[in-house]
Amino acid sequence: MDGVGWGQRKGPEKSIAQRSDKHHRCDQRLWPDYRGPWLALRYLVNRLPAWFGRSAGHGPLLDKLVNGRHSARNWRRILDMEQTPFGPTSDEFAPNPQQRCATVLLLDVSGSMQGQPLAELQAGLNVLRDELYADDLVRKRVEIAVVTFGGTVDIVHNFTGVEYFQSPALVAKGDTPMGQAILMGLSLLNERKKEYHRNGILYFRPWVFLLTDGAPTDTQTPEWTQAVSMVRQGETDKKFIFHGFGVQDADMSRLAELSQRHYKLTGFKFRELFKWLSNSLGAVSRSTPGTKLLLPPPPYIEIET
Amino acid sequence: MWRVAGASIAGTSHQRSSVPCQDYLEFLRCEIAGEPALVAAIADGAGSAALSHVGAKEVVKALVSAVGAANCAVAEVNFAASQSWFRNALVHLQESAAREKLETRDMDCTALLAILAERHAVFAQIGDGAWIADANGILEPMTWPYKGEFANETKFLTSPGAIDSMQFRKCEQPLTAVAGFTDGIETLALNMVTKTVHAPFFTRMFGELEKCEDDTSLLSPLISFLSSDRVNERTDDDKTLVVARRVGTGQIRDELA
Repeated sequence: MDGVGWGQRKGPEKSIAQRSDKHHRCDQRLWPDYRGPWLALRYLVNRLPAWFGRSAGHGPLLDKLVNGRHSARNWRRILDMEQTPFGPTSDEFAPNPQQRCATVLLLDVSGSMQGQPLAELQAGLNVLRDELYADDLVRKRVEIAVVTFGGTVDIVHNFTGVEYFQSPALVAKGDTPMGQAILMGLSLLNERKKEYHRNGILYFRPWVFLLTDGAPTDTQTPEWTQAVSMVRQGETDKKFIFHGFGVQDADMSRLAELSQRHYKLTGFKFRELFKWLSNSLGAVSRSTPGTKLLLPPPPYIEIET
Repeated sequence: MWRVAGASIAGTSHQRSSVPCQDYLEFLRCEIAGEPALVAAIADGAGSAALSHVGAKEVVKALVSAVGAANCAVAEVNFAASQSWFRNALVHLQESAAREKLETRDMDCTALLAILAERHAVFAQIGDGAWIADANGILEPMTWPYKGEFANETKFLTSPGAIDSMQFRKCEQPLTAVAGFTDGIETLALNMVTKTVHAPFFTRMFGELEKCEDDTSLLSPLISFLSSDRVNERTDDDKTLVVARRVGTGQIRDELA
């Protein structure tokens, strides 16, 4: 022993007889003490991430394993978490139904919608479904009904959760009985609310969403007058939120009669519009008591200058 | 003697948008007219109010100190007396708002109060959240969350007529266990359809509370439970839960046994 070896211990030189067997078995220059193999392993493990292309440090798991002194404590902590007094049991939470956000879509499918507008609308419905479906909580909370008006007023899709929503095939025909459609939509909504009450389901303020490319053809009928007064009353009493959207040659003054929230849409940007609707419904269905929501305005709105 | 554990944890939606936890909870062991009692108060600040977390704290502190300083026995407490405590808290809130040059509605919050004495208990509440209690081995709601027509509507201490329509419940019998919580816990702990308490949520907690040696040993399991993924899957709102269990020996405990 020349006394300059790597990791040489300080202190008086021990005779061979005084050393333990452990030190006899390995070369003192390479393995200076019993921690040698462990340090080497630690060095290897520490370097591994660098060798495999990670530039700095290593993950928390490796850290826990490598920093030997702490690992036992870490494991105990992990075990303790498993044995918390409030550990999971199968029925620990009440099986409450999710709060619902009912949405009625009133869609104009009169003859003038034939062709590209209808195809865009159909695609828009799919976008709405996909967007709403993508969020776990929103999927369970938003419910959609679709009423079309074109010649006749049809409930093409009654209220279902987004999970079960299949966008209906739309067919363009006839004139624009908008007043009737509004009444139909509102009565569907009332039925749904009663259903919620009967089953003790909490709900958010429903949304009514009207989309048209023309002017109502039933303005001379009592239905139109009634529809206007019901929408206005509902808005004042905060029973629902009514949005009116017009495209192309839509009679915006009629939409203005119904609600302050009426917008002229550029072109047939239905996909973007439904994307906005799904985002807004998502925000609503996650809102908590006393929350005032600041929703962004709908996209592609024409503003008169 | 009551063993108590309670905590407020910010909801995941609040964490995401860096909004502070708007719930506040405080409990106090004191003597009311010579009788040992536990006073607990909870408030949940409105999401729409910018400083509702401050409002919640002010209201809770005002309620706890008013009740702690009361000089009428818990057996004598009635609706009017409780109303006066809530009115004090409201005045305190209005004064704090005026001092800071704020609108009172910037500090909107709900308010829940419980006073547990040896043989009597009083529960009062404005807004949502609830108190539940174990009376004769059955878990019953003492108050029920107030909801407007819509799920995201409730009443706040500052709402017009809130104090007149305050919920009040007085128990003339000794209770073995009590829990109070804000709306973040509501749908986990209450069956909203049958309007009953979901007992499995509490039975285990009350059991553990009875077994543990002191108040603090259950605090960290409670916090990790409230922040656990399985709770967060069900609620993204702030969560406050306070659980109290009667412990120790005494005449009342023997009677209850």
